Amino acid sequence: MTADGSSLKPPQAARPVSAGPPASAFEGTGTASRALSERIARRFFQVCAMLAALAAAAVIATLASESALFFMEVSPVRFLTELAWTPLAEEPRFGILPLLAATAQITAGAAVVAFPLGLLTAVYLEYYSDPRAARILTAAVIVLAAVPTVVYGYVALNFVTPALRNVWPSLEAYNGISACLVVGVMILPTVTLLSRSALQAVPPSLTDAGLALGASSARVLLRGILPAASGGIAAALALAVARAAGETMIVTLAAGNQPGLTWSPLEGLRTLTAYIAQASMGDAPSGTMEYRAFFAVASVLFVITYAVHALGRWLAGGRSRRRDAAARARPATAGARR
Amino acid sequence: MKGFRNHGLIGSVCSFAAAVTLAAAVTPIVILLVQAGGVLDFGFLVGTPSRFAAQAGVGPALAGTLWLTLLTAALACPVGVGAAVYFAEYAPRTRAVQAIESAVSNLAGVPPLVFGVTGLALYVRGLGLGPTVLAGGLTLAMLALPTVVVTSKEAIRQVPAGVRAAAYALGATRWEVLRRQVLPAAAPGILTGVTLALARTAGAAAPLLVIGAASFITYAPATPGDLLVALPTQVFAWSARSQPGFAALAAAAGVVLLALLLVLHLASLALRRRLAGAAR
Amino acid sequence: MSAPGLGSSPETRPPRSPRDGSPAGAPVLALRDLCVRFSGRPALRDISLDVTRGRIVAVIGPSGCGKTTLLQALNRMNELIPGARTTGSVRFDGVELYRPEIDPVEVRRRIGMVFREATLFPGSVFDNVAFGPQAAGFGGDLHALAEEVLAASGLWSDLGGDPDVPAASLSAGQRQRLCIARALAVRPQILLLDEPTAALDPTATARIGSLIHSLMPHLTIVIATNDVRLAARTSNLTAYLDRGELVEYGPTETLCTNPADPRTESYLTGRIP
Repeated sequence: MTADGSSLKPPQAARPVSAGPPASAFEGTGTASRALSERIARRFFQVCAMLAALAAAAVIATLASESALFFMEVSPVRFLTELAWTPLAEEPRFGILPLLAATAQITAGAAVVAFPLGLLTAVYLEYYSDPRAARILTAAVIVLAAVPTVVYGYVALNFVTPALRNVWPSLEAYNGISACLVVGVMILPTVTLLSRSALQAVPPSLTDAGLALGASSARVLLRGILPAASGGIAAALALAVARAAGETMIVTLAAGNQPGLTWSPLEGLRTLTAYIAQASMGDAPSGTMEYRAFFAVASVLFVITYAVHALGRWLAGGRSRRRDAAARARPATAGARR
Repeated sequence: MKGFRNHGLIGSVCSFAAAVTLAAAVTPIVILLVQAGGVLDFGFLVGTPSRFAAQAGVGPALAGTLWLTLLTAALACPVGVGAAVYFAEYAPRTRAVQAIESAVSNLAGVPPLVFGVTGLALYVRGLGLGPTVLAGGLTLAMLALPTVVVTSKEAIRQVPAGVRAAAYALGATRWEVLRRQVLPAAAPGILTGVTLALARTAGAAAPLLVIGAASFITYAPATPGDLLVALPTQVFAWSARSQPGFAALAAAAGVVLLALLLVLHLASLALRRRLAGAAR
Repeated sequence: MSAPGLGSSPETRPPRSPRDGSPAGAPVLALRDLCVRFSGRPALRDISLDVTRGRIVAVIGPSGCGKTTLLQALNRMNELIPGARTTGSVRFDGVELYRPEIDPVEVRRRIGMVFREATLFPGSVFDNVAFGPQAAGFGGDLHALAEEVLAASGLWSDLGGDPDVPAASLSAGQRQRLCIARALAVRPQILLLDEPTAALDPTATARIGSLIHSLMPHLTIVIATNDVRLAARTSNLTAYLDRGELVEYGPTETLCTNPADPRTESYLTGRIP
């Protein structure tokens, strides 16, 4: 290496400093090719983002356009007030309420199973377990999350329903209660893992301060930790609800496709998702009311799950949004030190 | 240790709940393995569906799922990771960009079934692809995309700002900072997200059912233009049949599907170890 | 000379005594009415000062007074922060740095920066040193360059001549010296040090101090610090900043022993104004 650094490119670095490089020294040989690769990279990522946005737009536009055709023939009032969904009947009826009611029942049932179980398990993992037990249980819950829902559907139909019928002989082969139980198990990992993250975000100093003040652990948990984590826990529950409402294979296999409006968990029922899965298997031709009805129901499902999911993300994002705001308030350090 | 020492009533209740959760996690897999026991052999893996339960196999379905996973990875990963880089590193913080970003992200919460419905309209009918492996791959790629974007974006944002600042201060351009520091540091996290998305799509039955997956095809798909068959829909088809013997077939196909997902996760883990090793 | 080849060849510079602080010839950095705002909130107001080549300038002042912002304005690191707006003029060897056709990447190659937190890149010590030259398209012997800058920062002997050890295995003081070494590897003409000793113990601080001193004949250095002793020990000139304003700027000895402004005095003596 020479003393003037002549092997350093771009070459203007070798210029004696005292000569005072002119402005053109800042546009040396390396700059053009660098600017080109810089532009190519930016354009590539921009195109990717546009494709992703296009895919999102395509999903929404497809649902919207076919649903619009549906609602040109069936008034939204009819859609919301009729009490049966029979698009294939001689005099078809297009009332979404029975489907919505069935979805609400399954979701509520699953929530009753999963919310307490998942939340208590999260508390156990975070505050009562030893590290070994926590590791085993966490691994099991992650495996549970990875099992495809069609496998749960199989278990519901071939194991849970027969077991329940041993206890409860009047139970139908297709019934709501088996679906509720298994959908509850399906969303259990979501509730457990996300609630645990919410608990982990509570600063340990809060726990220590409470205990140092002489409060009982129960009091610290109920009055200190859970309120502090409530936003994150609410987000966990919302995301779990969105998953339960959109669950298809378990309800199709376990709850069947019974068209009537029922409130009995012992009978079969037909959710939004089960209708779509069953109807499409019939290969409805494009352009028929049956085909469009299928999009109208999918749109309802889309709106519900999208809204609940967005709510969950908003609740979960509250903390990081506040952090961002704090970082913006001290911008001089934001770039360099964080 | 952070835990409470005296367990008390709440501790007992939580421990009980944890035990139930553990049982709930283990039971489905045990049931599946027990029910599948008599059926699983090499002949089942390469055999084709049959009216006779004893002769049936998952060969075409297994090939179909491998095809679908490959197509999904090839279509969704570059676009999804690229979009995540754009949103995390390049995008101007305008309202319009943030609206697009959150629209893409929130699609991650939309049920797979809905993607099947749009896939039916767009690919099977719109592009006239019919119920083929290609239509299935495109549909699953659309399903995987939001998850890939969300998780990759998160992984990129986890890279400390100090690394970026240091690299910029050394006279690196944005692309050099990304290519040589940010992306290598985020790679393990991105890989985790991509694996989760691929596992989710490989196990998805509902969208494939909607676009018209077959369950009784006696030849394996050789090109993306062949008719769509897949493991999850095969599990569904056999589960729904009431004849004796088919329940065991469904369980066995489920075990094959779980094994495939396990292989996917293990491969991802091995690759992640190598990436983390290379970064260190 | 412990580090031959750093900066430019010494014979091109007029000889002068190292600590006289009086401006000789054209300044290497000339700031005129420099203002920086973050989302409209002013962080620096009307800063005007000259930095002479080969000198060490200390920027002192209470936390949040704009030291970091001033340093980042000198090599256009500020514009990486969303909402930052810089007005006024910064001339480097007579070239206006904020002219639109100036490439900020080229600016940062000439005006290097080391941060308060020694954030290392993953990989070995060598990987850290090689990053900057590689980004600049360096075609020479990287290993020789690495040895040279590591020796200059006193790390070469610490490492026993092996630059392939993991960077993560270094101590806090060594990390900061590695940050300085990797900044030197790009061969900047000016080095900006932003509180380089804030996270270090007194021994490590002393080593950084003597390292800075050893670099002086070759480099122009601007060091932002809260450590008045470090500023007094290493710098020729000192600027005192308070709430984004330049209160006082002059030879370190004068400013430290006989400050003109009461605000500087109360900062130096630790009195609450």
